[in-house]
Amino acid sequence: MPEAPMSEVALGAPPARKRELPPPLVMFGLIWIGLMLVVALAADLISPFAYTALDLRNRLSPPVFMGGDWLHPLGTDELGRDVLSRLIYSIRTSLIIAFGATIVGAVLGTTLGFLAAHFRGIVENAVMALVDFSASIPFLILALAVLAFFGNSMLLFVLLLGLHAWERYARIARGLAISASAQGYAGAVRQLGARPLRVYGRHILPNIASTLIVSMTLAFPEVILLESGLSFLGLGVQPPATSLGNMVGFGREYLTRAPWILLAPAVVIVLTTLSVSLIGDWLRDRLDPTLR
Amino acid sequence: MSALLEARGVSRSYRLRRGILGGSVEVRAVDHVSLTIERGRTLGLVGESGCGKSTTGRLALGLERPDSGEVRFDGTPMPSPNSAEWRRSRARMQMVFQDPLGALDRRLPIGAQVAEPLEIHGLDNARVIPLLESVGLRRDHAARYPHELSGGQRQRAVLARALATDPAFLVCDEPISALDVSIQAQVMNLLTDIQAERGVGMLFISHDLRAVRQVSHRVAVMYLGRIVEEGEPDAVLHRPAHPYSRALVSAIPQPRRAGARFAPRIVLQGDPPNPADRPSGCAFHPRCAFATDICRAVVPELAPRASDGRTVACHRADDDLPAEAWTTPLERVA
Repeated sequence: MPEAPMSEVALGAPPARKRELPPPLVMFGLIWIGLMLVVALAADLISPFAYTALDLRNRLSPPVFMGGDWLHPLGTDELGRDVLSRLIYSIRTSLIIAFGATIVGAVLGTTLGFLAAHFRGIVENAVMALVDFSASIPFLILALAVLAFFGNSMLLFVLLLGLHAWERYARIARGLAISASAQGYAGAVRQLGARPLRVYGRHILPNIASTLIVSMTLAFPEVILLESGLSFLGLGVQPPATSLGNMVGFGREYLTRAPWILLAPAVVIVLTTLSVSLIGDWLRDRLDPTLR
Repeated sequence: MSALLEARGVSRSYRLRRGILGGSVEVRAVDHVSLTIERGRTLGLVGESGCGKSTTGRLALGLERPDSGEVRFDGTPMPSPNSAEWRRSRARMQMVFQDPLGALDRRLPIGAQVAEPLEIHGLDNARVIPLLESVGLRRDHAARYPHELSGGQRQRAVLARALATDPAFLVCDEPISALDVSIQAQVMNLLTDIQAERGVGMLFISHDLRAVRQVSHRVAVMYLGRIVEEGEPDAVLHRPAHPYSRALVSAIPQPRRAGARFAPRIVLQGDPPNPADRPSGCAFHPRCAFATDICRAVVPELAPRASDGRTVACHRADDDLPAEAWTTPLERVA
C-alpha cells in the first residue's frame, strides 16, 4: 500500500506546486490593490457625494465609529465635504500619479541604461552625466522650477514625478547589462548572431526584471509621498481636485480637532505602499525559476 | 582547397590603467600569432592562465577585431563584429564555453535556448529534440531549466546549442575545466564523435595537456601571447623542443610504476610573467635554464628547426639541451 501513493505523489508534485496560492500577506496585498483599482475605476459610481459638494451644516462631523451618523460614514472636513467621497476620488488621482510616474521612471531609466550599456563610449558618458546631474539636484527644487514655469497639468505632473527615480533604474540596468554581456549568457546569445533587440528584450530584461521590480516597489511609496509633499506645498494636485497627499496636507491643520480628515488618506497610503512592497517581493521570487 | 580558418600575424592589445593618476599601459594579450585550422581537424592550444589562449579563441571566432594581422574564414576575411554580415556568419562558427551555467540563460528552459540559434538564423525549429539526443540528453530535458541539470548535462546543452546551425568551426574554450573528472572524458568523447560525424574544424583551448592530446590533431603551445611551439600532439607532448613546453609537459602527473624511470619534474623559477612588462628578447628567458645573451636581446621567430622540422620559437632549438641542466637554476623535485 505505501508504494503506489508514493510514486503518485512523486509524479504529481511538480504540477501541484504551480497551483499553490500565494501566502496570506500577499493575498491581502493583492486583494487590497485590486480593491483600490476597483475604487479608482468606479469612483463616479460608488462615491456618495461629489467631492466638491459642501454640507455646511455638518462641518467637521465625526465618522460613524467616533459617534457620527451614516450620512457621512467617514465624517466631513472643515468645509463639510464628505471625507469618503473625497477619499475615493483621491485614490483615483494618486494611483494614476503613482503608477504612471513609477512606470515612466522605470521605462525611461531602463531604456537609457540599456543604451549606455550597448553603445558604450560617448553615449554611455552622456547618460552617466545625466544620471549624476539628476542625482545631485534636489528633486524638490527641480519640481518647483518646472511647475512654476510650465504650470500644472496631470500629464506634466506624472512625467515630472517619473523623473524622480529614473537614474536608479539607469544605473541598475546599465551595470547588469554590461556584466551580462561581458562573459555571461548575453555574450553567448550575441555570438549566436542575435540582434541587440533580442539580446536585451528576451534575455537581459527578464534576468534583471527582479531587481527592477524591487526598485519599483521602493520607488512607488516614494512617489506617493513626493506627491503629497508637492501637493502640500501647493504645487501638486491643485484644489478643488484632490489626492491622498493633498488630503493629508490640508487635514494636518485639523489634526487635533478632526483627526479623521488626515487619518483616512494616511491609512490608505500605508496599506497601499505596504501591499505594493509585499507583492513586489513575492513577484521577484515567482519570476525566478531557480527559487521556485 | 584553402584551410577552414587561417590567422596571419594576429595581434591584440588592451590598455590597462595603473592606479588613479598613473598613465595607461599597453598589454599585449596576443602577439603575432598565426594559426591554421583544417576542416574536420582539431588544433589544441595550451598554455598557462593569462597567456592569451582565450583572446586567441575570440579573435579566431571574430568576436574581437585584431589590432593587426588578418583572420580568414573559408577564404574570406572575417566581417567586423556586430555587423549584419557578422551576425549571419555566426551560423557557421560557434563557441563552447568554459562555464556552462554562465553561458546559459537561467530563466529559459533548455529547449528554448537550443532553439534560439535556429530562430535567429531562420531555420527549422523541429531539430531541437534530435539535437538534444545527439549530445546525449533526453527529450524531457528540453523543459528543464539550467539549474536543474548537472554540470555535464549543462555542457551538453551548450554543445547542442552550438551545433544547432551545423557550424563548420567550433571554438572550445576550456570546455572541460569546470567539470568533474569522470564527466570530462564523456564530454571529450562527445566532441571527438561530433567531429567524426560532422567534420567540424575545432580550436580546442585548454591547460589540460592530456585532454589536448586526446582530441587534437595538432598542438600549439602559447607563452605570453606568442606561440612558442607547434606540431603533432605526440611529438610535442613526448619530446617537447621548447624549454617552456618541456616544463609544461613535465608537470603532467604520472603514476609511478615499479622499475620505471622517473621523469624529473621541472619547477620553473621566478614569477609568471607580467604581460604589461614583457621581458626583452625571448619572453621566456628570465625563467629559462638555457638562456644566453642572444635570448635576452633578440625575439626568436617561430620556424622549423633543422633536425626534425618541428616548429619552435627558440634560439637554442637546434642545440642538444640536456635534461640535467634544469637542476640549475631550476631544482629537481623527486
